[in-house]
Order: sequence, then structure tokens, then C-alpha cells
Amino acid sequence: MTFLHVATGESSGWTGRGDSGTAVRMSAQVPGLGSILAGARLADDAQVKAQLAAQKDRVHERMRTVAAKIAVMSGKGGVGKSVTTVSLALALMRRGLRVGVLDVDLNGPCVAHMLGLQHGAFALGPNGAQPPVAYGIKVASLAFFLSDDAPVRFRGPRELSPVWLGAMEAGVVREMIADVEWGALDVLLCDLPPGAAADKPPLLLSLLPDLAGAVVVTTPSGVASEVVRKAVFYAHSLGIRTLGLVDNMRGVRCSHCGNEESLWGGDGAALASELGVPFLGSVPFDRALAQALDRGQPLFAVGNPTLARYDDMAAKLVAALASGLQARGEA
Amino acid sequence: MKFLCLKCEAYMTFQKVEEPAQGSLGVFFACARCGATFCMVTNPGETQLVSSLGVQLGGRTSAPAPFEMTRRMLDGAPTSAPESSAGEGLGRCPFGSVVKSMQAPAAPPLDWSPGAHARLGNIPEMVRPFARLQIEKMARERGMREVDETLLDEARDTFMG
Repeated sequence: MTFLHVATGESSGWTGRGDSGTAVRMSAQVPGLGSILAGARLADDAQVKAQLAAQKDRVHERMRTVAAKIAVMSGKGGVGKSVTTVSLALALMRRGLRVGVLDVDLNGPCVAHMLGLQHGAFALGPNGAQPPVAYGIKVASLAFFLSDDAPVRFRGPRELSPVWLGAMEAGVVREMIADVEWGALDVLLCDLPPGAAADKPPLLLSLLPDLAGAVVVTTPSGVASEVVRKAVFYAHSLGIRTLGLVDNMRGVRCSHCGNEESLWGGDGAALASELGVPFLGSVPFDRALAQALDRGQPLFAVGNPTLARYDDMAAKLVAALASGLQARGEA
Repeated sequence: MKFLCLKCEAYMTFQKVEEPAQGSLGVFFACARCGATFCMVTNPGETQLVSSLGVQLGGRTSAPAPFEMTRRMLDGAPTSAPESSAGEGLGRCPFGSVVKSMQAPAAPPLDWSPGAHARLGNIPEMVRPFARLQIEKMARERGMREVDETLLDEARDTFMG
């Protein structure tokens, strides 16, 4: 950033022009900044403050009709956050709830694919963007702006991207919340990218101050548990309540005999107990479910034991939400 | 961001935005009491940071279109505004022209004659990038392939009064 002294005021006593040195010399001759600021009147003539406030109002107005906003997060990558998000969304939908999914994993958006919306797109209108809907679930994802193999790339100087990328992503998430016609929803699940201390949880909290809490996903691996533990503490430090822990890929279910075999030997329930957070349940790696989501055709088979696990977790999640509302006197 | 006139002990007021060069913004502030004027010149990273706020310096005349910033800044996204708000497209955004120039193919680099290059080194470091951009802009407008000392003289007369 450079400052140019373009014009000197009348009788200002300022000398020289063209560089910031003038201003530096002047600053040594004036009283304390605190006393100046106390007497100066600030006008929002560039109207930046007003526009930022208006953005916040639009987020608030759009989210007014969404009862519970929930983050699905984990410190660890590859533990199945998106599978959990989609499976919980479908389970909540099976319970008759109105559900939306916001894919905050901007660089690896896959929720839309899993729900069969590979070719989905927002329909832009004067009151907002109509989200694609799959199985009754409204979805917002950056994937709807990208062609098949296109990575997420923002226009701008690449060599300076560490300076502006975070702010750009924050703007995109804000628009996905405020500009989408979510309508009345019982639950909005926000699928977060990996990272124990990433910027997305505080971003989400700043946009959704009434965030109901977080579903934290782990696997029974010692390495995953170690990182997920940090994520829970991080969320707690931000004031985000852990609604429950999901122990994903607890084992692998044999597609022939249905027997479950342990993969790592760890125990998510024990981790939840140690952390003092509710345990939502464990889910095996189910080849049929994984292949179905890869095809974008979620399973709906009645009696499927894995879906039953998600149904059970959805019931616990609804109970946790209800207790949270009761605690806040909103039920 | 606000600027304070230390002489008058008053906040300076926002005046206008200009695009002095590719990826750069000049934001002008003036003291309403003494008339002193300052211009803050941003580098491309800072310009991008301001763009990411999704605001228009000086205010808006209508509400932003859905996904206005995302469509403008995401590579490969459709940039056209919805029909219902066609008048609120990129044209009214103070960064619109900057963004367009960012999307445009980069101009071929200009050569500097040894004499002109040496004189560029005499310009204070703080304003040298801005001066270089302005001079190269002048050269391109005149169809020149090389910046020479004659052009520097003209630039000095133009910018320094």
C-alpha cells in the first residue's frame, strides 16, 4: 500500500509532496491520537460499514426461518465428514424434517455428487438463488459453479493469494448462506473442510451466531482421535457446543455374511466419554453405501443395518437439539 | 479504513476511486476543512482483499445480485447477472474494471532504456511501483514498446505539475 500526498490544504504549513514522508514528519508535531479521535466525528462516507452491516442483516434475515444450524466437522481429513453429513441429512429427512445442506468444503465439494446433483445449478432470481433439491434436501455448494474437472480458482494474483484467499472464501460462504432461498428448514447441516484450528468454524460462528452446535466425526484410529480431540477443544474454546461424536468406519461390514470386523481397534465411545461429549454412535464402512454415494444414488433399502445406525444417530441428534432449545427456553 | 487529517484533527472524507494500473486502485480522501488530499494506492493483493468484502466504495444504488462476488471472482463461474437485475452487473462496481483487467490477458512487458531505468531508481521507493505503472500505462497508450527518457520527462510534467 502506498500513500500519495496529492494536494496540500490552504495554509496547512505542509511542505513537500509525493511521498508519505510528509505525513510522518507532521505526526510528530500533533497531540496524542487518542485525544484527536475522541473529538473527531466519523462519517461512513465510503459506505463500507453500512454495506457490511447490510450483508449481516441479509444473513440474519435468510437464516431466520432455519431452526437449527449444525456444523459437521473434524480435525482430521478423510474420516467421512461428507458421508456423515449426507447420511444424517437423509436420516433427518426420513424423520420428516425439512433439511438443507451447506457444503463449506469449498475446495473439495462432494455433497452435491453424493446426492446425485452432479449437474445441479442454482437458478438465479431476484430474491435469491434457488438451490437444487435432492430427495427433498436443499443443497448449496460451490460445485454448482464448476465444470467437472475444474478446481476452485479465484481470479487474482496467485503469488499474493495467502493475503486474500481467506477473505474471498469467507465472502463465498456468506453468499451461500445469504443469497440462497433456503426457505423454512428444521435443520441446516454445514459440512466443514478438515482442519482442527482452521478458519471455517469461527467464520461459521460469526455468520451463524445461533449455531446449535457441532457433530464431530472421527474414526477409531489413534491418529484420528488425537487430532479430533484438538478439534473438540477448539470448538469448545469458540463456544461451539459438541452435539455428538460419530465414530465412523468403526469396522468393515462383510457384504456376504454381514459380519463386522474391526479396522483399527480404537473406541469412539470411549473418546466421547473422555471428552465429556455425547456419543451419537458408530458406523461401519459399508461397501454398498460407499458405492451408492459414489454413484450419487443414496441407499434407501428398508432394514439396511447401516441406515438404521444413521436413523438412530438422527434421533439422538434431534433429542440433543431439543434439550438445547429447552435449555435456552426456546421450546 | 479511515484517514485522519492531523492538522485539522478531523476524519478525511472519501472522494473517489480510480484505477491507475492493472490490479491497482487509487482511493482518494480529502480533508473537508483544509482541502488536503491523499490517495491510497493499493497493490494487487490489497485490491483483491477489498474486492472480497463484496462492497462498493461510495455505496450502492441497489441491492447486490445473488452470488455477485462469487460469480465475479470464481474462475469459470458464469459472470452474467440475473436478468431481473441486469442493471446491477459488473458495470456499476468500482472494482469492475479492475476485475476485468485482471481477467484480460497480461500486456506484454515493456523494455526500459538504460537511462530511463536509471532515473526510475531515483524515484522514492514508496511510490516507485505506482510511478512505474503510470509511466508504462502512458507508454502503452502511445503504442510504445520501450520507455525512454523523453517519456519520463513528459510523465514528470504530467504527474508533478
